[in-house]
Amino acid sequence: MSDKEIQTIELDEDIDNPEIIVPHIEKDIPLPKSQKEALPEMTTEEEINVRANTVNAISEINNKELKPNEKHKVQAERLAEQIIKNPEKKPEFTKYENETLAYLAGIVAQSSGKIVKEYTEFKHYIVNRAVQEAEMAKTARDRLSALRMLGEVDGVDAFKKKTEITHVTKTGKELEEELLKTIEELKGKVIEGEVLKEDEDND
Amino acid sequence: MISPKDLELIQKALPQMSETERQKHLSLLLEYKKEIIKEKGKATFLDFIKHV
Repeated sequence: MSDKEIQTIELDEDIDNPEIIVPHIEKDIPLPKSQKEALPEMTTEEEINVRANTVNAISEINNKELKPNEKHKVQAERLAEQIIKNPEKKPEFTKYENETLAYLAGIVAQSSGKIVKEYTEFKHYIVNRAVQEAEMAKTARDRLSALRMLGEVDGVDAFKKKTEITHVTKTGKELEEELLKTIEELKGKVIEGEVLKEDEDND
Repeated sequence: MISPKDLELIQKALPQMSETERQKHLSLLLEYKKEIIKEKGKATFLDFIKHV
């Protein structure tokens, strides 16, 4: 038997009796009951991104462009509001169409980069939305209103008034002299007033 | 020492003063009160401000 023939037989045997390679399986680890349970813990924002990426990948594979209509946009905006108002409660994303989720992911990315858990983090969202309004608002009044809001943001302080504090470094005697001077002036004015009153009475 | 009546006169005139004048006199009054506390003690000052 030639070498070539031996090799062919060995290969055929491999095909007929393939070795089964079993990966190492750790013991005493229960299998997840459902697909939902198998998913790792995610924040709302992470879940939105994962869903949006999946939706985009599927649409690309199928060569079908995702085009959100007005209904999808309204749904996504409502969802975003709901998430912002109550970040602890995750909405049931499965109820929504792919276009809505893709649009929602866009809003999240554009609005803040993060859906907040604490109100302090809400600042990012407010500032970003105010910038958006300052640029996009239809009327000058609305644009100015958004700009005014931005100007008052801590750190921007566009309208901060300068406050001058007078530090008095005088001795007790100097203080007394200055106050007495003012008292004399004030008394002079009071007397003038009284005199005028007397004149009026006389008239 | 300035009498409580005279100090009251300045305090009552503060709202009619210009911002700069008001700031100045308010600081003077506060400093003056501190001086009295330093010189005469808290008890005296408490008696003193009862009239102001």
